[in-house]
Amino acid sequence: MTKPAAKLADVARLAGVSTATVSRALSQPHLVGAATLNRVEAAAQRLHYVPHGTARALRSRRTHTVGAVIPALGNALYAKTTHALQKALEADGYTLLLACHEFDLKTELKVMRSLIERGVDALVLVGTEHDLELFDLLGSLGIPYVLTWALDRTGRHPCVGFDNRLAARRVADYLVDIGHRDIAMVAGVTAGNDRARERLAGAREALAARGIALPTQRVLERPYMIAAGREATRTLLKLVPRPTAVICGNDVLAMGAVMECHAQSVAVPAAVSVTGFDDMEAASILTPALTTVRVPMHEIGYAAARQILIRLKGGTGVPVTELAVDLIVRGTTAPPGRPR
Amino acid sequence: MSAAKKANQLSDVAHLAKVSTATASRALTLPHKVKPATLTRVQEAARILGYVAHGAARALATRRTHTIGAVIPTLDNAIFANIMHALQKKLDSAGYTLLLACHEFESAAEVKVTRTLLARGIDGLVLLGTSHDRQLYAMIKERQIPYVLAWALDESGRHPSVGFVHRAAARQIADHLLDLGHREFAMILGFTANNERARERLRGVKEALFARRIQLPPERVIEKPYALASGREGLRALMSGAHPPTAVICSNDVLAIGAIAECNALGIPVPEQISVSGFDDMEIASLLSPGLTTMHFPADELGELAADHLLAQLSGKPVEWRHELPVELKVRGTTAPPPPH
Repeated sequence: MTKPAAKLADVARLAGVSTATVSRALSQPHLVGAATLNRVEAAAQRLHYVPHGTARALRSRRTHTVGAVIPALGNALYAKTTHALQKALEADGYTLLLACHEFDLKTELKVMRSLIERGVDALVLVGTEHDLELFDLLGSLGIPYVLTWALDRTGRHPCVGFDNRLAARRVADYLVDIGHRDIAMVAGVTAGNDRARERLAGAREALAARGIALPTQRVLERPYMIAAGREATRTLLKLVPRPTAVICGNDVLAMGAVMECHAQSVAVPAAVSVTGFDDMEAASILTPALTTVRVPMHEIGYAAARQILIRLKGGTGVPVTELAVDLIVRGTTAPPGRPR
Repeated sequence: MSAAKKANQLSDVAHLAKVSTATASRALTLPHKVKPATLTRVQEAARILGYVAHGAARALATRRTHTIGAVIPTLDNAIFANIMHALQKKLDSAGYTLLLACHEFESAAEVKVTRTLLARGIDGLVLLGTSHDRQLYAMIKERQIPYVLAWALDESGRHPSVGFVHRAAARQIADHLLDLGHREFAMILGFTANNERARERLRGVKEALFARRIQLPPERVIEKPYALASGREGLRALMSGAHPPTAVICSNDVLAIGAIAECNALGIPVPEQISVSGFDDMEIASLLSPGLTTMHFPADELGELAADHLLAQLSGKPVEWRHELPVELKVRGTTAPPPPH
């Protein structure tokens, strides 16, 4: 056991101010003079004083901490959004704490509860589908929040994102426009994931509107992993007739699809076209480079931070922030080859 | 906070569950100490009322939050993300929640976010790497909570750590290329200033080359941010020199994949004309064609071990102070003997 932790009184003594002033300087720095603030901060630093947040939160109910709950740690896109979110919050003196639910909505409720218990002033969530209890809890506690990466069609929840369904429609429309009729999809796992579900629904809608079916055996749901993309593509390439185009629910699945085609000497895009979703950095350097949908991963983070900060300052904010997406046509798509 | 209606109190839960507030409190904080029937009643009441134990109050009372904090450089690195994923799984199965904070390779930010985590109340802390601000260690000591350094090993003997000897791993890669006959080396790596892993990997490569009397001239050492584009730029810069290298050691897979993409774009065959190696063994490394020669770090195992380490400390069990994990060189298709003169 080392010596007991420095107390507020110790900091006050070293800084030569009252404990009330120390407390004010550490919790509401803008209310004390710059010279005093400097003295208190220097003293706190020298004594390694950590305000007992728990005690502090009980008094002020403000922690200057924002929580974010993301589906998966291993997804580079959420990492980009989170990075932007953090930068923007940091500029306003807020710290971001992250928790992850691994695509399980019950776990999401649990980790969100833990964040609230630890004391966060606001929350950022991914997607529109959540456990109902989660919204009840946020509502009853009056904690500001914003949903990201998707648009809430009910109008009940503030959101920052893009229309996943519309984006997927554009991909499917483009493939039909260049002549494809035998189309398959490797989608993300749709259970508990509104983004994956909307992308599948969008592709289906666009094809239906052009009189093209997307039968069940041509739709495979897989976790977002390269190996899963490869395995699904192996299955699709055995179908008769073989699909001439494979729409993938994200770039990771698409990379797996392109790799599997390479491994089976199926030429991309001459024999099979492949599309992704997200436009990760790797998408542009594959050979051939991936045709995909560019999503505003950084902008989502910045815009979400803006909406949260407005609400924390008592403003109402914008209920829906819709961001644009672009179809980026590169080398993995081309008109279908002649039937063999 | 634009507080809507007044949040429910513990007494409301107790009232609905028909138990005393003391029992309700015990049920919510130490569930194993109350009878299952009571526990179910209290939990159900808490659920109906949307009651959230004010962690602040609870932490003051019990001094246990069942929350573990982790401070990492960034999530934007698949390896860190994988370590955290494994850490979380293991903690979750022991009833702990993981809270993460990122410092984006800034030492001042690391102190700040760690302070936030400590202030919010955590039972234990995982830090990535061994080089940290002294102030940060002092803060942890003050709090007297268990912590562990993960990813690299602390050679000072002062801090508990689980990880790899990055320098030895780098020596192994360099030796592999030396054994193939390479003499003209270059290295593309992350910024060494705030990144001890990059620094140690550079040192390891230099040591291996030095042992065989081979130089690594400064113009052949390129520091870049970890991004595919950096690997491309680095490779292009190296190949535009008067004496281009025959072996390029990259300090992670992302840089290596970028370097190979640039070789493809420039029409330089890999590995016939140039060998390229990575570090980490990301999922994509084995799936590329040719497959990437790289150093495999068992990221999952590391995350699990870090969790075990903290959980053992929390229950007062002895721990291995310095836990070294083995690494494995994966020789795949991107390394081969150098072209004949």
